[in-house]
Amino acid sequence: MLRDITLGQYMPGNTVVHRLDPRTKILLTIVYIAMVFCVTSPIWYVIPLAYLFLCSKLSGITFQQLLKAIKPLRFLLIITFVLNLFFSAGETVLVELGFIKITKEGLMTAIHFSMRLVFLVAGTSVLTLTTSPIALCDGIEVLLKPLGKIGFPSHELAMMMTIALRFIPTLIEEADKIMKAQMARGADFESGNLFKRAKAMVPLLVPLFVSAFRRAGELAMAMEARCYHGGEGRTRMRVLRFTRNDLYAALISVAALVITILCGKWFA
Amino acid sequence: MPIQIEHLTHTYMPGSPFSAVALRDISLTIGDGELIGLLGHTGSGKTTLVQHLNGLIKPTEGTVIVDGLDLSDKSTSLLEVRRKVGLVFQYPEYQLFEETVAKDIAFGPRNLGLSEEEIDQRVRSAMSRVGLSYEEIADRSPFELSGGQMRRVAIAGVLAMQPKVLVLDEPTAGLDPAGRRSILSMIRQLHAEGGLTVIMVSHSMDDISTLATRLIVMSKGQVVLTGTPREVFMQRELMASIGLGVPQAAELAFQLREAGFPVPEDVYTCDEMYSIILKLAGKEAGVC
Amino acid sequence: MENKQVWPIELELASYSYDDEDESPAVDKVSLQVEKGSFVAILGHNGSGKSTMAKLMNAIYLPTGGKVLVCGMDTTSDEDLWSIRRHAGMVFQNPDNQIVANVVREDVAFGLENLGVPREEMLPRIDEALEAVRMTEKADAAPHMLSGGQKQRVAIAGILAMQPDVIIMDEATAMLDPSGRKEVLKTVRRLNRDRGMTVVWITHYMEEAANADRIVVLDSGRAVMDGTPAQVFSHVEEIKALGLDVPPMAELAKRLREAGLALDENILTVADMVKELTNRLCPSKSNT
Repeated sequence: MLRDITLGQYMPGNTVVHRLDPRTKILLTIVYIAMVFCVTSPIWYVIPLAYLFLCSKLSGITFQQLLKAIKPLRFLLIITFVLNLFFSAGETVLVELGFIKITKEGLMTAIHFSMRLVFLVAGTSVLTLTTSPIALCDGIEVLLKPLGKIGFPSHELAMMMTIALRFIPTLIEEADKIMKAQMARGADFESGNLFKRAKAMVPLLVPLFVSAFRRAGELAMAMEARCYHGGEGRTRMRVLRFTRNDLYAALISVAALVITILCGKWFA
Repeated sequence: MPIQIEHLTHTYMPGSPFSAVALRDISLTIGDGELIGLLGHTGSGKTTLVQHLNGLIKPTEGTVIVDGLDLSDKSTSLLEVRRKVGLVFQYPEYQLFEETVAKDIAFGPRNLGLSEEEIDQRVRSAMSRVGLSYEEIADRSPFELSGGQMRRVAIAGVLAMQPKVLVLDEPTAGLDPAGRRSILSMIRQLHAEGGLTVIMVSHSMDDISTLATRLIVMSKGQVVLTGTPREVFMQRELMASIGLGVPQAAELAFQLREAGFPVPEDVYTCDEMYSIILKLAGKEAGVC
Repeated sequence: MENKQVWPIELELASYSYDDEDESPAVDKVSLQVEKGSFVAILGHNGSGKSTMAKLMNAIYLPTGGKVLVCGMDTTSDEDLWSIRRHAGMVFQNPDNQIVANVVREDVAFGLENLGVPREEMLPRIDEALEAVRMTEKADAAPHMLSGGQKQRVAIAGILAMQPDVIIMDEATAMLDPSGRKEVLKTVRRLNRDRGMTVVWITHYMEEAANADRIVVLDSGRAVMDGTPAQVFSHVEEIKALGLDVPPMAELAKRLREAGLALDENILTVADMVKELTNRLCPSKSNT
C-alpha cells in the first residue's frame, strides 16, 4: 500500500556523476536550463541531447529512466503541443479544417516548446536521480548561505528539509496504519464520487495531523535537549568538497552553453 | 467454527527485489468462544496474520474462512467480514478523530448504514462494555481524555460494530501496571459476558498466561506451538530458542528441578510454586 | 557557601506546576541527590510526575519552587543552559521522535554540531559513541529501517558523543517490545558498569528498576520510598497500592516468609530464589 512508495527518484550509485559535489550539480542544472532556453530552433536540441547522452553514459542512468520521469507530465506535454499547434500565428497553412488551421510555423513552435519541456524535465531528473535528497539539502543550504546576510533563513530552510525527509517514511507508515484501523471500522476510502472520497479522508487526516503535531512537539524538545539553538556557532560533520571532476564538469557544461548560444546566433 | 485458516502464505511485494515472506503455510482453526493468546517476537508475523482475519491483507496463497465467508473470494463483502471480526490495532487511541467520544464510537456503526436509534443504542452499550460512563464522557472530546480512557474509547469503537470475533493487537502496550491490569480484566469480562471469541496478540508472557485459554506461538512466519498455557510453558527450551522464554514461576520450577528438588514439570504460576515450596519445606526444612 | 559536595544531579525541595493555580503540582518538593556513578531508578505509575521530574533534570522545565542543580549548576541560570544540557543528556520515550538526521552517523553528530565541536574532533567521538552502544555496523543506515531498540541505542550514542556526566532515560523503554527493552537496558547497564556513567532511569517497569542501585518511588509528585531494590520491593502491598508491581520472585519470597519460611529479604530474581532455596532446603537427591 502506501508504504511501497519510495522516496524521491534517487538511484543510489557510485559513478563520477553520483560523486560530484551537490553544489556543482545544482549549478550545472541551472546552466543546463539556461542552455535549453537558449536553443532557438528544434535542430539545436542536438546539443542538450549530446549533453544528456554524456550524463547517461557517465552515470549509468538510462534514457528509459529519464523518459519515465517525463511520464507524469505527458498531459501537460500534449496540452503544450496542441495549444501551440493551433494558436500560433503563421502564414504557411498546412491543413485547414473549418475554423482549425495548422500552419508550418505553428507546427515548428509546437515541436520546439514540447521539446523544451521534455529536455528541461529530463535534465533536471539527472540531478534528482543521481543526488540523494540529503545531499541536495546540503547543497542548497551552502549555496543559499550568502543570502543569509540579507536575512534569508538558509540554515532553517535546510533543517526543515532534512527533518521533512526524515519524517516522510515515518508518516507514510503511520498513515498506512491509521487507514487500516479505520477500514477495520468499515471506512471506505476507495469508492464514491470526488466529494464523498474527500470526506472519507477526514478520519485519516485528523489523526495524522494530531500525530504530526505531537511528533513535532516532541522532536523540538529532543532537539533542544541536545543543545540545538539555531545555526549560529554550529559546525558540520559533513563537509562538501570540490574535486577536479567538479571543475571538468563545470567546464564541459559552460562550453555546451556557449556553443548553444553561438549556434543560435549564427545559424538563426 | 468461526475461523479456519488453511495453508496460508503471505509474501510482501511479491516479485520485487524487496519481496519478503511474512507468513509460511499456516493452518489453524479457532473455535467459538475461545480466548486465544497469540505470542511471538516482533517480526514473527503475528500482526500480518491478524490483518488477514478481516480482509485488510489478502492471502498470497491458501484460504481464510471466517464464519463461512471465504476471504479469498472476490465476491465476499469486506464490510460483512469487518462487521464479524473487529480488529483493535496497537495504540488504537491514535486513530480517534471525531469531535466527541460518542461520534467517534458511532463511526463504525454509521459505516454499516444503521439507523440513528440503533447507532445511539450501540454507542451506549459499547461504552458500558468498556467501562466508560456515557453521561460523563459521551459529549467530551476524545483528545482531552487520559491515555487509558482514550484506549477504551477506541476499543468501544470496534465493539460498536458488534463483532463475533474481537482481535486485539498488543492491547496493553505502553500502559503502566495498573492500566495493564484494568485493560486485562476488561478483556476477561468482555470474553466472559458476550460469548465473544477473543484473539489477543502479545509479547508479554505475564499478560497472556493468566488470561488465555489457548496459546498460539509464532516464529518467523510460522506457527511453532499451540496448546494451553500449561502445555506451552512446559516447552521451556523451544520457547527460549525463539527468544520468548517462560513465566518466572515456570523458570523457577525448572531450575529447582535441575537442582534436584521434586517439582512437577507443568507448573507455571506463582501460586502453584508457593504451595510446592511450602510442601518441600514441610518435608525437608532444616535437614541440611 | 562552604565546601559543598557537587552531585551530578541534585534536587532541593524542587517543585513544578504546569499551571499557576494548580493545587497539586506535578512534582512536589522533592529532594534528591544522585551519586556519581550510580544507577538510580525513578519508579512511578503514569501521571505520578516521574517524566516531569526528568525534564527538570536538564532544564527543559525550570522548577517553580526549590532548586535543581546539574553538576552544581543551577538550571535557572541562562548562561549555563547549554552546559547543563551537555552534562545531563536525555533519551526520550518515543524512538521515532528524537532522531533528527537521515543517517545514523549524522544523528549522532547532531549534538556535537550544535556544540560547535570541530569536525576533526567530532569524527572519532562519533565512532566511539557508536561502538559503545554496539551500533558501528549500522552507522550508515537510515533510522527508519532500524528496530525500536536500535533507534534508542542510536539516541543513546547521540548523548554519549556529547560526553555527559549523567544520562537520563525518560521512559526510554516504554514503547519497546521485550527484546528491545532488554537490549537498551543491557546497553545502559554496561555504560554504567564499565565507564561509571551515572544513570537516572525513569520507568514503570519493576523488572527494570530491579537492576538499579537505588529506587526512588514517586507518587503524586512526591518521593514516597527510597532505597535499594530489595528494600523497596519488600513493601509488596504498598507498591501495589501505588499502582505498580513487584518482581514475582520478591512477592513469592514475601508470601513464603509470611508462611513461616526463613528466607532472605533480598530475593528479586529466579536465580536469587533458587540459591536461597537450595541453601535452606536440601534437594532430595543430595539428602543423606
